[in-house]
Amino acid sequence: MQDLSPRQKALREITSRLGRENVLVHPADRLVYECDGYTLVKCMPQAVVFPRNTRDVQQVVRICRQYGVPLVARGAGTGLAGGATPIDEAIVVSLARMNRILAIDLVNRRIQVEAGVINLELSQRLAGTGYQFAPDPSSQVACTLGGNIATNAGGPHTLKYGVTVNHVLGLECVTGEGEVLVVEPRWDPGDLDWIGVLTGSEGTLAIVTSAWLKLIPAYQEFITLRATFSRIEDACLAVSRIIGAGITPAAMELMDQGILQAVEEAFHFGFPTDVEAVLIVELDGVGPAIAAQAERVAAFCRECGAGEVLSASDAAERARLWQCRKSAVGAVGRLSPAYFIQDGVVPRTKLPEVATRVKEIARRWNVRVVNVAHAGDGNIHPIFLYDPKNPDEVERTVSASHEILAACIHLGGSITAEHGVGLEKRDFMKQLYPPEVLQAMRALKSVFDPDAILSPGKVIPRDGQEKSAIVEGEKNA
Amino acid sequence: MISTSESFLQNWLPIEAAQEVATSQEMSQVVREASRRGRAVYTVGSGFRARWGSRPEKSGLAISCAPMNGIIDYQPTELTLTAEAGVTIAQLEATLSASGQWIPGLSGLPGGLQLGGLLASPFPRLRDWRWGRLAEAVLGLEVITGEGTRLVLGGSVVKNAAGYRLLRLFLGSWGSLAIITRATLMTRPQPEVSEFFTVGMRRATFCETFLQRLAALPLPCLSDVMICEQTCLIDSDLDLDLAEELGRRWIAATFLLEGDRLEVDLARDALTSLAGQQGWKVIPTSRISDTAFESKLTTGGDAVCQISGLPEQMAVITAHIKEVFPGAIWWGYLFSGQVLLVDAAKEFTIEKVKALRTKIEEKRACLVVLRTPANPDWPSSVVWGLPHPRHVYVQRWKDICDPAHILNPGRYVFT
Repeated sequence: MQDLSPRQKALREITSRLGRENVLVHPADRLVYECDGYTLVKCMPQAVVFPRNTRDVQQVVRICRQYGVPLVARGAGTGLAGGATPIDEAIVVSLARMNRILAIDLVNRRIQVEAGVINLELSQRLAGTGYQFAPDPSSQVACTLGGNIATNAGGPHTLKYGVTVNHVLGLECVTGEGEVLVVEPRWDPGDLDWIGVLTGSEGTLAIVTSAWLKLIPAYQEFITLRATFSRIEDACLAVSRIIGAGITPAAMELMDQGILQAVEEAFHFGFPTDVEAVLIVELDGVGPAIAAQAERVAAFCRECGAGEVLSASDAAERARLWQCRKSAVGAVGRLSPAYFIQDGVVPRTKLPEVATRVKEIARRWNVRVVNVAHAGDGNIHPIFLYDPKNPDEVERTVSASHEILAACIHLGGSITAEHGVGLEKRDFMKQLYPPEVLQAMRALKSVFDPDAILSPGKVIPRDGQEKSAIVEGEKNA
Repeated sequence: MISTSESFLQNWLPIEAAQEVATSQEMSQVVREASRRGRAVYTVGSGFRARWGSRPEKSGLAISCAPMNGIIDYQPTELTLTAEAGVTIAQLEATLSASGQWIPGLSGLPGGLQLGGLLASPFPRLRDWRWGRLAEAVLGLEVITGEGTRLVLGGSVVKNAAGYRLLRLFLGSWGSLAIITRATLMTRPQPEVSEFFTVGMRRATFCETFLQRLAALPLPCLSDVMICEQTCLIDSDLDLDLAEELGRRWIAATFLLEGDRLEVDLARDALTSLAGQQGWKVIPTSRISDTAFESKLTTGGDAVCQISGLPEQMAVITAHIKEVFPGAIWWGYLFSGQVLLVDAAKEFTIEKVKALRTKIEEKRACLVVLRTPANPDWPSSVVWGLPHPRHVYVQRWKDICDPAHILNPGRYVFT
């Protein structure tokens, strides 16, 4: 035992506690865990462990803390900011096997889940009850609820119903000290709002192991419109007009020409590919009321220059439309050997301006960008297409991407609306926040994780750390 | 001199001096100087809740943000509003209603309340379940920490996942971690209709079947259900009517329906039908609403307890209240899982509160005393304690934000 490194000792103890069947050490097994959906940085983890319950997670954290070994929590690996990338030779703690729905409680309008439950499974289990869990990220067929909580995930329908934090009632998690922290699903005026800060902390303060989530009554009637625009800026303008008129659609999504072409090629839905943008507007509520709203929405779109404004003819067409929208990013794989999706947000009235900036930046850096956006929230998702074997193109892609984020900040927005900071945007935090705010964030990290073993190097720039995350990733790879 | 110079405030807080501040820079300087000298700072808003929390002992400086009363920016098309801490609810409502917008967490409150105090002192509201607590509408926040550091947190966009959401740790911290000086809030289009629908039923009915029937009737436009057992604040005749018709032990359940006219009409029809099937007595909506209760809570001089639990626990919690405090007034917000107990001081003894708390905790619910009677027999602290390890994290964060412990010392749970 004396000749073993601290990492080896930690791994040996973890294996002893969890059993060999819950620990991956072979390089071939670990390979898939070297990154999440952010593929520009890859680092091989020391090991991958699969706790079965909160007690297991607690033991893993305590062992890692004892030996000073960093660890990174992972759900389904669908994150898009490198939050689950195991830099610093971290051990990956996969919550995928903690995947039970523990209780469905319609009387109290809540559901209790383990962190590894897939988001879509909730919709399936709740079908026919009249209730829903509102956050629906585009990756909901694969992403876990623990990951949703860690990143404070959004999705198309958060325009009306809010992001994940608005739907978390209680949490059980393990802090960086290996303490189990339980925040009961009730509001306690004698306590601080831990749910508010732990949700979206990207596994750097604590590892969420289970949660109580809010169930809300679901509308049964929908009108889903799609409007075509010859200029993307006009579609953005329509968004502001609709919101400014006091209408709150359930969702308001934008897809540009590039993404429409990819979606058409993949799904043959019937989207026009000769327009610059399509705006999807979904209204939910009571039939005649939303019919009246739909007429107003269509009128606003036409006033802003829309060509066709069509309504989904039935539930099947609506379902297929949403399937296309949620699979749009995946369809991009047909256009390029590699791509990465950016996440920025601006005040929604600045959408036309940021759309113009994205086009101009892409042209100047000579990179290919297609766009989807949760337009109602001002949340843009430029998708960069690149060839990973072409270093010059990779560099230009990264530069263009960073310039778009800088534009979001300049326009009064933020560097991420729903994907989180992770590794990718860590260094951008200095542009977004002044030093005293970053210092306060570091201080909060020290409250929960004083030895900085939970996903170190993520979210907050380290003191005096100037090197880019990508350089660091290359070093660790 | 601070504008809130009412005698109850002066008698409650050990104030040796008072100061109004007009800017966050000035606030920063005042707090920094107080920190250097180790002098206690008590923040005072409109004074409505100045007597909430424990009675502090350390004399110090009272600071009012009343002159910081500007609405800095309002963008109806962005659904955002930025205002200083001293802005009153009346100012905000007047501004928002001109554009057909509202902030649900502010609705129905006394117009004199100040925004900063409201954000610092959380308490349950009728609309919390559907629309979210007021804290959830806060997109950005400016605070001054106990060392006088100005922090500008969050931003003005409706979604922002950049870094830790520190602002959530200052909202509702009763001014014990930092002083709120400015906030950016998310506004919403005001619903076309907002109306109440009230039914009365025997307590036994409420306990046995009410929640199950509601679970089978998911109504998206239902904001919450207010329950109460004594409506005498509003209409003493109603109390008599209900007692006669339903027996001595009855519960009134008031549904708050908000949305499009048609949607609300359909929901009311569905509830009327359900009431008919279940034998619940429909009460004319003009005879009951939440405003009288809200007013009692905010401006009354009585003691106030807040009890949090699950909706299905409300029946047993309210039974315990009746048992321990037979003469008290209580009302609850069902889906928000809150019961507020208001009692005249003579019944509100430490022993009785402890007895109620013991019964409440057996149900894994919790009880906190928000306002004690002006009675010297009460201890200086009403801290009930948090389970490990939460109290450790609270204390660590307090030490970071206010290392000299000058902000509202001895007054609230965090000190």
